[in-house]
Amino acid sequence: MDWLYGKPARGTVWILDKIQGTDINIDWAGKKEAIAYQTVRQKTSVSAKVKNGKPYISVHTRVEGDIGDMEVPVDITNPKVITKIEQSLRKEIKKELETAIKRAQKNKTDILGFGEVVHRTRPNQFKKLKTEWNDVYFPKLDVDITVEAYVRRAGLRNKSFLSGVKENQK
Amino acid sequence: MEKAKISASQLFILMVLFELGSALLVPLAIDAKQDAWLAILLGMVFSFVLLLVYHRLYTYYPDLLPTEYLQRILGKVLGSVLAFVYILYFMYDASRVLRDFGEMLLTFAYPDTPLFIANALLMLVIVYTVRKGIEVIARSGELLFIFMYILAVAGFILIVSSGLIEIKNLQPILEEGLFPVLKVVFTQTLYFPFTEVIVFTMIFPYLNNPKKAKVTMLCASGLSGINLIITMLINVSVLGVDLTARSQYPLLSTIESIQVANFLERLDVFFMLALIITIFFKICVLFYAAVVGTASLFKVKSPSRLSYPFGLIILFLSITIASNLQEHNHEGLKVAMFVIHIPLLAIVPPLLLLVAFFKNRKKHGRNKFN
Repeated sequence: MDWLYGKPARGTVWILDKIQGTDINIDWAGKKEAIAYQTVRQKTSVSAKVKNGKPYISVHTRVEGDIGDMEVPVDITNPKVITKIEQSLRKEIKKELETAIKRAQKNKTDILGFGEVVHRTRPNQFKKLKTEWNDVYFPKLDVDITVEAYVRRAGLRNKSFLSGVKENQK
Repeated sequence: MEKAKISASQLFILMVLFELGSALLVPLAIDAKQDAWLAILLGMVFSFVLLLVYHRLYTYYPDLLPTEYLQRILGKVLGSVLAFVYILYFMYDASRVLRDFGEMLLTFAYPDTPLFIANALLMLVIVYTVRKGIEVIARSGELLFIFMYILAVAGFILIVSSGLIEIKNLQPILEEGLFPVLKVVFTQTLYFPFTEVIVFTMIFPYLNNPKKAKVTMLCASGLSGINLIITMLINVSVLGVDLTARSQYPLLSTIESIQVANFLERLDVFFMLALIITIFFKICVLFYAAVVGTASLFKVKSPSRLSYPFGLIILFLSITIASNLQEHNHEGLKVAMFVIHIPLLAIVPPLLLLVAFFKNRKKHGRNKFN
């Protein structure tokens, strides 16, 4: 038995498509967890393929949200900065989902429902995999994760308070 | 062109509401720091020159829509193309304003609502109004104009009486000389919001008393300019330059800081109502101009039939125009300003006037000889 806390727990819930709203922190300019991103809506879909008797799973997630909080001076009036934030969000989310999957694979427990997906989409081929799914196939599964993350808006302020402080120090 | 007439006072009201439109929403001319009000004032004054150009074009062809007289001035092909460009511009501008509205609503009041729903709800009302024609737009303008000014005056009194205004925030005036202010004037305030009223050249032919067009136009620009100056003065003096510049919606932040007798606070609704009213009319006028222009250019018999498809186009354009608010604002201030606003509002009309002047002089000259 194993308990999931923190990031692997959120990753698991994420893959199960049950996230209602959460905050994701990303690092910025050398500072850990500098920018907080609040998700507004997300959609995760899991699809399965079976090739030569070997199952493949791909997870696709799309998330929209706002920038909630910044602890470093970032000029988010610049759309290029927003694109960069979106890219690091993608990496961060992908990392989280990967840790969740690895953890489940280590425990040899398909809590993510991947077996169900294969069952649903490839019922005939799943019959062969079924008996050894949790012990043989699931732990060795190739999972392809694609993440789309979008920043939509940023609340009532368009610059950090700190950006003013920095300018005055110059 | 539909058979409708509006009075000069109705035109005045529409123009004031139009210019206040999304200009009340954004930190207008904040690049000029505490001299933002000066930049707005100068923008207003310089815009009079361009407004006179638009008016002069109208006096050459008082009964024709710009889409028609463009063809007279430049010839059939070139005129039609340019008219089409102007129609696209009106639609693009309408969708920008609609996006502004949706973003404002979502940032401030409805964070979980999809942008599409917020925009679609306003668009439904606008499509309905535009279908009913210019007279209905003008009459509803008269009703809501009074309401809007009651809100504005009440808000002003509350801000002053809660002792928020710090005149010190406005000093020093012209810290870095006149040049930065002029730069803001000629790259921003002159076009947004003042000479955007070029869209009213599409409305002028409906005026029942064409002689009053000039006075009405200048007065309306003057009044809305003064209103914007007062708003920006209050914003900067209440919040300070730094906070005004960092605010997405400075007027909202100003109104949120009202606190009278520990009882009258959180008057954000004032802001919302004022913005929804003005943005509604701004989109209505732009949309109407696009519909009427298209009808005259492509000889569509009943313009009101175009309002549903055009409404859909503007709605979808407003969603796809940018992927986030920052991109939208950047596009408006840095890209659309130079690619669209400056050529279409400040460069093309004077050239048109030049051509129209020579064409009409020739005609008059010939008349004299006969």
